[in-house]
Amino acid sequence: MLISGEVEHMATAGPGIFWLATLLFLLAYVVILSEKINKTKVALAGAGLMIVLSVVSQQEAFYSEHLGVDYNVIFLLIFMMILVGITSQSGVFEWTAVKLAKLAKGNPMTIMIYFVIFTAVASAFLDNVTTVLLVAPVTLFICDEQELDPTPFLIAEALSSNIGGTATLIGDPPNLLIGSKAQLGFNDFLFNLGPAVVVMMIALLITVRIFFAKKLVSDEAKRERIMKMDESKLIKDRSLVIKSCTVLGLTILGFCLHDLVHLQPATIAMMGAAALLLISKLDPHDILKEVEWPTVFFFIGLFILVGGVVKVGLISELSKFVINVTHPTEDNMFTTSIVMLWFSGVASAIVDNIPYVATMSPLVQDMANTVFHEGAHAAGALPVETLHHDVLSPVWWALALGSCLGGNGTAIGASANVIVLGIAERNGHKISFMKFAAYGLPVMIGTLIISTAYIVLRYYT
Amino acid sequence: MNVRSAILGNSLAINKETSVYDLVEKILGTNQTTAAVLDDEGTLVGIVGAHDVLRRMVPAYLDMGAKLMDLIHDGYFEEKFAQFQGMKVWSIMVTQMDSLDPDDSLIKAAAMFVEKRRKSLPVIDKDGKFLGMVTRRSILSKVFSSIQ
Repeated sequence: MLISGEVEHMATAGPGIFWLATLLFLLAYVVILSEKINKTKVALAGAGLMIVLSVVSQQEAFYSEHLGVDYNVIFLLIFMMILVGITSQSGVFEWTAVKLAKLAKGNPMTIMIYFVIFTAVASAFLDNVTTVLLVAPVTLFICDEQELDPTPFLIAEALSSNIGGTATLIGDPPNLLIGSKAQLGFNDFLFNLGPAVVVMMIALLITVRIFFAKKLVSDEAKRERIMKMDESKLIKDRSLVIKSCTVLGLTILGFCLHDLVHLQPATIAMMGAAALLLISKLDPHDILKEVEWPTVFFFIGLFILVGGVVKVGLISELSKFVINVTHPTEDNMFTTSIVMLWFSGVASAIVDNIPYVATMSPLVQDMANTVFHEGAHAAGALPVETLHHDVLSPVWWALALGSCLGGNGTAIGASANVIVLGIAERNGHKISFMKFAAYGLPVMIGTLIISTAYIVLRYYT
Repeated sequence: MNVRSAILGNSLAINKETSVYDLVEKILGTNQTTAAVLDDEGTLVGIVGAHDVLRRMVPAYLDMGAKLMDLIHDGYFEEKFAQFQGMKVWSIMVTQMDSLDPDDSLIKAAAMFVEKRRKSLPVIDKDGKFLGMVTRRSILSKVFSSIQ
């Protein structure tokens, strides 16, 4: 909902306030990229200054859906963190991983394939960082037991986590941002991105086999160690497994039945988190400590920062530039889609894809406003018919594919990569920036090529 | 009373090229758990003890998945210890450590033990030369004997 006076403010933003907001935004962006100061601190400080310098009012920052904090994203993020936090305490993820290693009969290559698929599926429903935090310790343990170098496993898992997370609304934060701005639901993501992700996962499995097959050899005795493991010891509280898996499953089902239940994903996640807190009998203090609050506050700061440059018209100027370069029309946005895919891929390999998508999704909105309505609507107040227009939809999917998959290109391209490399180093297996790129970059380019073919075949033939 | 009065007479001190096996033997031969690591000039370059050896034997990933501990195969600990063969103490010693001055008061030393949760701390002079170790026990012993 547009709050009173918003349109007037946007129209009257003078050059002074335009440059002030732009400089503040760029400065925050550069400092976030430099990683010299924690990104949450930078985003919150930048957001605070946007209000203090009257770029946005506090009313807009806190209550405007389009210029301020997007609570759809914030609450979905928090409630999913609560749900996943409780479920991960049950030991079910470790149990599954060990069970898979046993199903692979201790064969290292088969274990890698199972773990890569498990990571991708888990990443589609949990966030990528949580997934790798759960999978990496078990991977290190299995490799230690088999006296294998865990590096190939960890790299393959980071890559599959980023690919798997692309498939759903809740799989990767950029999708949450796109889903909220474009009013796209869980099924929209699953049906539009899921098929592409399946193809990419098949390609990834073939690739890791080619990359690593020769390195993954173990003898009978070491395979036997895996087969002797009693995975039931990993489940400390059987009733918590049943309760948490049931609630998590029902929540995901709720997302899928969004059109039937007429509830937003954040509401469904809230019901799931509340139900699990009630039936698990766990202390909310302990559970809430596990929420990734720095990420939540990073989003809060980012929304206000981006709201500032939306309000002064910077995003609108950038959108005009995109229009001039890619010439989107009411009937065709092919060039825009392909440029969006590859530009997002390369950009996300270098910069954090969360601030990138936070900036790009209002840009796509603004572009649609110009192309379809000649700029008649206020920022972010586009009718849903426009947001879901057949001609515009491929641009949203290109943005999602590019920003999620681009993260695979470098060690710093995605949070999951940073976490995996940190865990590897702490366990005495340092993976250098170049080593990660040697595997990540070809996978990133390969998945972007698949995405290009997918977009062309699905939306333009 | 100052720290000098609580220095252990038989403080363990080793060279950084000492093997981890030799370190363990020396620890087992005394009632101390920490040794000072000195360079050829007798300057303190690190401390190392039973805790550092054990830390190397327990993989870091177990901190994140403590439940996995129950699935480790029999003989894992012994195999890990066998990997120390030929390893020198410099590879496991702690180099960022707190130290005491011989003229520091015992109360300052006691406060440092409480704050840092250490069992022993090295005492060095102004030139960084190692004078000996003080332990929680040696400080308590000094205080206790002074009131007897």
